[in-house]
Amino acid sequence: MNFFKNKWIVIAFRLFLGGLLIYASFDKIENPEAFAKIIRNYHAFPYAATNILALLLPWIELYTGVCLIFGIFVDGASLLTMAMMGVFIIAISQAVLRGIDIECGCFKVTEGSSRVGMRRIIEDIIYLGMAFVVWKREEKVGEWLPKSL
Amino acid sequence: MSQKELIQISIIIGVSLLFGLGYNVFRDNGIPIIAKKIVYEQADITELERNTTKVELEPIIKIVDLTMAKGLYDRGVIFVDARDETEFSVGHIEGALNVSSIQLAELISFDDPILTYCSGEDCELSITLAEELADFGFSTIFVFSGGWPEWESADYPVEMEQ
Repeated sequence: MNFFKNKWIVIAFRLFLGGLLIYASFDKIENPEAFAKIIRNYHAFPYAATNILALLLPWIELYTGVCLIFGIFVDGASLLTMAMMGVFIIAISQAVLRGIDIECGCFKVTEGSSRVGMRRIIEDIIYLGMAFVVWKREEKVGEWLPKSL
Repeated sequence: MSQKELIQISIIIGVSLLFGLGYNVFRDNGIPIIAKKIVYEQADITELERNTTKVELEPIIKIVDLTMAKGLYDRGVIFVDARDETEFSVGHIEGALNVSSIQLAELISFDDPILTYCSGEDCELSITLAEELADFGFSTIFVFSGGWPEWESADYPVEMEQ
């Protein structure tokens, strides 16, 4: 079965990734300080940039999710999803490789945040793959901007 | 990546930036856009030869010893006693202030170097105060680890209760 030709698979992936990104953004938007601390723990970004990342990233997740679900800028949104997953995979991998046991900050940044680990990396690789399928889709269904022909 | 995709990504990031920064301004628990790093560093005595009033780009808390503290004192750096009022009134470094961060902000400029001290090595008050001052916006902060006992025993200028 060709994934890229099946419009229902593409729509299902769009809805799933969109929902996932929106869900992931809420707790971070509400707790920028906690999320900034988690980013700092990764030791992967310049210190001064950690706050602006904590302020910006959750909103990018939110809008990318909204775009995927409502069919706006799906090309850009799916590429952005792949880019974000790529960054997450690298950030988590370097933490795992260096043996630092830190909170993931993937979905929850206050209570009940999971730890980084192989499971998260595999999940993110799967999400990256799903975003790739959306990006390479052959048929545009339920997309409003830019207008499909 | 095509130009169309680049424009779409830019719009998504632009809108996120607008809302992320905007929401941060209007909310109660907003955070500074640029993260301030508090760095602890053993001060080097040679720094005294350079201008000690230089403004650091990021707040730095430097731990200083007795010699260095005396050097800063002679250069007119403001000394803040982090201990409580009672201990302060019994005896303190001459000219030292016993004020809160808020009061200090009204007295001096954020660029003025400050030294905090308390009752010696096992006292955390000077560090706590220094961190508070850094958060407040002061840019050059020294912590005199030896504190009051070391200063007093060195026979440096003090003010004692009459």
